[in-house]
This record gives sequence, structure tokens and C-alpha cells, in this order.
Amino acid sequence: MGKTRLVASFAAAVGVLYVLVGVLEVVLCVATMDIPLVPQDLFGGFSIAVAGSTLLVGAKKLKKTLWEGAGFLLVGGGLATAFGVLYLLIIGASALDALIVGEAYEALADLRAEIALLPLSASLAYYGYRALSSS
Amino acid sequence: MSGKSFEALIPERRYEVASKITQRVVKKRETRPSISDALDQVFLHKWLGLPIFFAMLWAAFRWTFDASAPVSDAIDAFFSWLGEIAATVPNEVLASFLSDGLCGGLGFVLVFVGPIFFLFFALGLLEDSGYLARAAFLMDRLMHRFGMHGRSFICMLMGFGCNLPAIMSTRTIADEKDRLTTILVNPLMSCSARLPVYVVVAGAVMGQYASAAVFSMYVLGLALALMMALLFRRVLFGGEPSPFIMELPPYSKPLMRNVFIYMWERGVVFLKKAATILLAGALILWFLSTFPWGAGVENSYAGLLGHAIEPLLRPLGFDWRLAVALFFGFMAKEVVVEALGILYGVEEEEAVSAILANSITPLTGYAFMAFTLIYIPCLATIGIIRSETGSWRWTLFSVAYLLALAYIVSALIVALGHLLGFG
Repeated sequence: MGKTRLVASFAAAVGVLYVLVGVLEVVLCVATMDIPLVPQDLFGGFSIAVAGSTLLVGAKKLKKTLWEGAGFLLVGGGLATAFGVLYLLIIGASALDALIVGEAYEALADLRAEIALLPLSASLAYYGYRALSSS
Repeated sequence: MSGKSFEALIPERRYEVASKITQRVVKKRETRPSISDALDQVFLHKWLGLPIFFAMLWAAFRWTFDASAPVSDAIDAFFSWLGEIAATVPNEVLASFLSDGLCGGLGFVLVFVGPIFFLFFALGLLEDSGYLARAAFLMDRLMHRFGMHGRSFICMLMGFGCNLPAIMSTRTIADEKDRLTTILVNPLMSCSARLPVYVVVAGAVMGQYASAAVFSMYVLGLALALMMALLFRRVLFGGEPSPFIMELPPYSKPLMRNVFIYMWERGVVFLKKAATILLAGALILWFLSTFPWGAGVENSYAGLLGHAIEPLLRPLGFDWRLAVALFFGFMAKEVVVEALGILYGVEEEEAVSAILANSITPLTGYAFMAFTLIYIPCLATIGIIRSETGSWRWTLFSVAYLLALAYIVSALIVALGHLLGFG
């Protein structure tokens, strides 16, 4: 299996994971159940599902043209990474906020799947950027 | 001929000739597409383009509201502390003026410096990267469908910051009908002045859905703007919007210096407003809600005014306090929050939220947010509509239709909410 096909398969797997997380976040808004690391978040779920879908399209296109697929990996991976970093920043901001107002803060409660998946999306975005820069 | 307009054909032919000349005189070493080309394949994708745009807007909103919270709370804590010191002044009236009027008023306004600067930082990043131009391009087809010019979207996007420069920026639209349509619907774009109202009300009654409720106000504003534009085009102006021709800049890594300048230039408008109109508004409000001295808020001048307006707004679930707050919002929308603070007799935004949580339902809160979004533009915006349209007729029309629309939409929200069992 060539390197590009391997990356395409990896991107497809990560894309599916993000779409699943996104759909769950949306579904949980109407369902009455709790899943660890997956909060109820209508727009957040939609957004991360869009990032996952972009990675899936990228994986498909990567099998045909490296250049076109790399663009999708860069944008999809970049978007998912941006959300992961954003959620980390929000945890930091909430902790600081709790310190200012003198309240207790439980950081674990704000952990999300997007943060756990951050290294995967960042690696795909980096691959996309490198592929486009060198082509 | 080809069915295209004259304005679209000229640049098309011009680009064809330029392309032929370039092919003849320029020798390229390689024909590989650039990173910008690859990114455009994604950002301007037929199906993914718009969802990606909305996802990026959502990221910008989470950044604006959630990441800026420590800044807001630090400012809030500072003015509360200052207010407590001012309250110890022996003269009761002076102590009330310094503590409730000055420190309370300033605290209520400046607490929103954080979200406003954070919002402009995010928009600055998108602008400097070259993405906002793509967003305008993406929206062009949609804008045309609603009888607007593609360039109108840029003006409307600017309206998310402040309607004043946004309305002035319509000067870039050549066609008079396109321009007038954009001016008339621009106040529906949720400017940063409405943000404090959303944050306080949604924070009070929407619980975990507060961010989504705030975001929905921006979507509602955009949707209403498109609908009204279509209506105006069909009923008032007629004809088709002129074509949108724009050269897309290449993507670039945003320069932090540019982003900070973008953020400062726009954010400082809010600071200037806080030091002038908003402070004046706070002091007028303090006077109206404190005098006659010792009568209590409900029997003060503001209370009398509120009770006079209340019957009009009672069907929407708004009490006299909400009515007074909306009345003073005519000066500047941020004053709505200040007014609520003064009328409820509290000095902190969190205290207003706590009182609102116990006095209004989520449905009333949401209808109040929608009313704040739509009703009467602020005084400064009305002035700029007058100067840009050069007509009192269009200015009064804009005020009247926005008031009527605000009432209708809020009433619909309340009625639908009751039907769905949210009452």
C-alpha cells in the first residue's frame, strides 16, 4: 500500500470519527442520555461533522489527485484542530474565570472528544500543508 | 446574446483578452496550481463551502463568548469594588450617583469590552487570511436569489460589528436600488451593541443553550435581512440586482500586527461610545430611576414611563422594566443592559441575570432578545441612514418597518413557543 493510500485510509477513519462525534452531539440535544466526552451541542456538533465530512471528501480525492485531496485534508484537519484548540482555551479561560470569581472549577467536566482527537486532526492538517507546500 | 447583463459581459471579455495575451507573452516554468487554488477548491466547494463558513462563524462565536469570560469578570469585579468604596461617601445622593450611576453604569458597559475585542480579533483573522472575500463570493449566489448584490454581503458582515460603518460602506455599491436595499436591511444585522443584551438575557434564562440562543439571533437577523431585501426588491424597487465582480486575493498567513490593528480600530469605537453616549445614558437613567428621591424605582420617573409603555408590550410578556430598558435602548442598544441593572437596583451583570432568571420565562427572554435585535436602530444609525439616503422619508420608513417587524416577530416567537409548550 502506497503512502498516499495509507494517508487516505487514515483520513477516512478520522473523518468517520469526527462525523460520529458531531452527529452524537446533535442527537444528544434531543435524547435523554449522557455519553462521556460528548456534550449536548447542536452547532458544535454540526461544525465538527462538517470538519469530518471535509476529511472524508479529502480521503476520496486523495486517491485520485494528491494536490486536490491535500487541500481538503488541510481545511478539514485545520477546522477540527481549531475546534480542539478552542475547547482547550475555553477550559483555560473557565479555570481563570473561576479563580477570579472565587469558585471551584472541575476541568474534567469540560473535556470533549474533539480535544482527544486533536493530535489526529493536527497531523492530517500538517500532512495537507506539507503536501501543498512541496507540490 | 448570451443572456448575461452588459455589466457582466464587459469584465468577462476583458479577462478573456488578458488571458490570451498572458498565454502568448508569459512563459511559465511549471503549471502546478498554488495553495490558494487548492484551498479555493475546498472553501468554494459546491456543498461544503457554506457549511464550512458556518462552522468557522460558530468557532468565532465560541471564542468570543467563552474565551473572553475572564476579562469580563475581572472588569466586573473591579467596578463592583470601586462601587463599594464610592457607596461609603457620607452624602446619600452623591454616594448613589457615584456608586449606582457612575461605577454601576460604567461597569455594565465596560464588562463587554472583552467579548467585543475578541469578536473583532476573530473577524480580523478571517479578514487578513483572505477568507472573508471568499465568504462574500460564497454568499453572492444566495444574495442574488434574495434580490441583493454580492457586495451587499460585505456591508452586512460589517454590520455584525457596527451598523454605522456598514451603512457607510454601501457607497461601494454602484446601483442605487441595490444600495438602498442594503441600507434598509443593514440594521437587522446584529451589531456588537446588541451582544451585551443577548449575553445577559440568554445567560439568565437559556442555561446550557445560552451560546446557541445568542448564535440564533445572528442567524435570525441575517434571515430577516434576506427576507426583507426580497420583499423590498419585489414591492418597492423592482428589477434585478447588478452582477458581482470581484478579484479574490490570495490566501495568506494572518499577520498579528494587522489583526490587532483591525481589532483595535473597531473595538475603540465601542470604548469611545462607552465614554460618551453610554455614560450619558447611564447618568440620565440613574437620574430618572432615582428621583423623586426616596420614591423607589417603581414610582420614579423611569417607573412612570415604563408603566405608560407596558400595555403595548404586555402581550409579548414584557413588564414595565423591560419596556423602560427598550425605550432607552433607542440611544444605544448597550443602554438596555445598563437600564436593567439600574431598574433592578443591582450593580453586577450576574445579579441582573439572577433576577431575570426568576422574573421572566425562557420564552419571554428569547422574544426580548429578538425584539432588541430588530426594533429601532440606535440614534447614530438613524442619523447615518438619513445622511446616506439623503431622505427623511426612507429614514422614517426604516424606523417604522423595524418597529413593526420587531413586534410581529416577537409575537410570533411567543405564540409558537406557547403552541410548542414552552410557555
